[in-house]
Amino acid sequence: MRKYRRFFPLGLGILLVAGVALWGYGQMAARQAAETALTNKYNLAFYNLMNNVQNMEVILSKSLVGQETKQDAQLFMGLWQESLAAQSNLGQIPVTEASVARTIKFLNQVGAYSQSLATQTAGGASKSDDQWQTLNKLYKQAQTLNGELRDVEANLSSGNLTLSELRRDSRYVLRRAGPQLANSNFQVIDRNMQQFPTLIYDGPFSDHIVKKTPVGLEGAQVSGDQARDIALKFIGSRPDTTYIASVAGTVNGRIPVHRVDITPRPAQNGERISMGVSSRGGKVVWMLNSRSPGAAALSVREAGDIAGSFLEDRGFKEMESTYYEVRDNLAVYNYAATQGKVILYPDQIKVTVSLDNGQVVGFDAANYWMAHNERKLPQAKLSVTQAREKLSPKLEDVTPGRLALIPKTVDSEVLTYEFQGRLEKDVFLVYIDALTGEEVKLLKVIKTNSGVLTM
Amino acid sequence: MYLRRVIKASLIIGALLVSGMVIWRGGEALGQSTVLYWGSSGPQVTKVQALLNRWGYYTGPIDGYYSGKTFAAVQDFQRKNGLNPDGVVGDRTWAALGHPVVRQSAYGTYSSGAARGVSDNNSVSLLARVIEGEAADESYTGKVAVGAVIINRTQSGAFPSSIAGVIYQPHAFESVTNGQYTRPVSDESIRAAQAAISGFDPSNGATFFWNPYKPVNAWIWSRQVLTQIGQHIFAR
Repeated sequence: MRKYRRFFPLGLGILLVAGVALWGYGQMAARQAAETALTNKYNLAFYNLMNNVQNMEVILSKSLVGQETKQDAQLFMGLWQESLAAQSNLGQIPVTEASVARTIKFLNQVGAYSQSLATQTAGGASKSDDQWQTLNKLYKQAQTLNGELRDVEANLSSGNLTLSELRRDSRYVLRRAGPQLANSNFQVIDRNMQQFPTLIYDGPFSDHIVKKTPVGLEGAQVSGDQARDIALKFIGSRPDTTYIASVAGTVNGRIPVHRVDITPRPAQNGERISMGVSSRGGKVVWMLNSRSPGAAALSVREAGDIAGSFLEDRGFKEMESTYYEVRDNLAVYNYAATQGKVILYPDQIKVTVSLDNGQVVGFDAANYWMAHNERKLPQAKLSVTQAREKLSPKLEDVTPGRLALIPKTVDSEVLTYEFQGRLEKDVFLVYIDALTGEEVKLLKVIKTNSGVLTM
Repeated sequence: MYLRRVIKASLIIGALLVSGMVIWRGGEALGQSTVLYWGSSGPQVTKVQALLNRWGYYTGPIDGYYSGKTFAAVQDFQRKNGLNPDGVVGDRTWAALGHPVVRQSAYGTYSSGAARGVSDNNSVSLLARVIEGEAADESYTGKVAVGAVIINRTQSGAFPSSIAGVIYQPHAFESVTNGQYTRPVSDESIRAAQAAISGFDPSNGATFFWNPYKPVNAWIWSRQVLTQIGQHIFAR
């Protein structure tokens, strides 16, 4: 009985505390889940807003060089859409109306202006000089707004700020975008292309990959063992290193491949290589090397030469370097196939070179094998000079122009003249149909901090 | 008397529970724990065992449990590499193993200064965070593949068309739903995000991935399975 009396309070205590703890933990977990869900919603709205404003900026700058009314009408429709979407996304971010009123006003003005211009240009009337000036002004303001948003984003991604905090202290950040954007002289204004700038990664035209079957791959099926030998041969040899390769499995899908894992001995920096060798024809489709690069010792040009000879050694003749990008001591080079003097943009290959020792650490030819074949190219009906006349007179430093095959829809390609030109600091690529003279495509070359350049 | 004892017992148990919870939650928040010692377990331990095995320090089973043999092997490795042979895998031992611990990610360095509005850094950092959250323990190829799934989704008509839209789609990614994706990002995840954005796709067009060792919705198995990389099945 004594014993029982001693343990009873303990038992009751345990029960009580356990009950309370369970309930409390449940509450805490629920609150945390709710807060995370809310923060995620805010983040979504914010990142979408960023996308919208970036797209607005790109479209605005395109509208400055677009010459054809038909293209213009499309641009303005897109601009209108983007500004509407931006407004609705901004409305979901927990900041007070007062702090973003001017930003909203700017978005409204862009929306209204683009709507009126869309109507005008769809009716066949091209934009006037005054209108061009206004567009230019709006473009500058969109740049400013973008800069502000990127500062906020930097704070977000470094964890200095969460958007649910904004709810509590909404005087922060977005207000700063206000004053500079407040321009009462605004009268009025533009269309979408992409959600993130693919140009700098893929060179123009990377979206055609949706195509169903790889036309570049022919020949017999290869076995896993053959794939392993092909992979080892592709790697080449490195002094004092043995490569051990094993087939890690197969990958179905667009281009069925054998995945081969390769470990060098001795390993450097945890280096591991993974490669996709097509089951049909036994071509290397991609290669990834996990090694992290050391300090850069090579120039971008030297590394570019390495990329070029790497391709040539592996049987890719008639390739032309188009764009490159440098990031964290890795340089990515884009190459496109050529046929005669025509550059075939759908047939592209990416080669990543590590700038510390010049090793090729990445290779991606999925696009190339999807598209590459001997084309029956039509005869151009326009001369370069005739095509040049279709360009906007505002474009400066225009390149001589060259023939380029670009994808028009998922399964059609069009022969064009490619021109590169400049408007103030912005560089554009304009594609004029070599048969009809129509402006097919207008691209903006984006230079990031990592220094994307056209070559 | 009774009441006093009840209160006393409650306080003691309460204190124990609270401290236990703090420790437990701390462990969860760290996610990919970087310090390993006798008694640790998980994929990080497997990684160390595999590395030490490859270099001939460790001959035991690669089972993810940090026990006596692993301890001895780590000490051995530390001695040969001029480290304090304490048998604990901390920052310096990780570095010597070729997996330096990255506490601060590379983004943020781009934060300001650039006047040009359009950039892709936001896409890269967002993508890198989800890769870290979903595939921190996967190989580089496995990380790129997870990134590629997100990119593939943006290009598929069945999903939102922006990276943010795909990532924040409710319940699309576990690490986003539970907030884990906000932890620091490793260099490898950033490189993987960049590779995925530039078009590398070891998954060959997959729009789904899942860990078959965890309970998943049976519906998911009706997708066309493309391949398995590490612990993830990729399908479309």
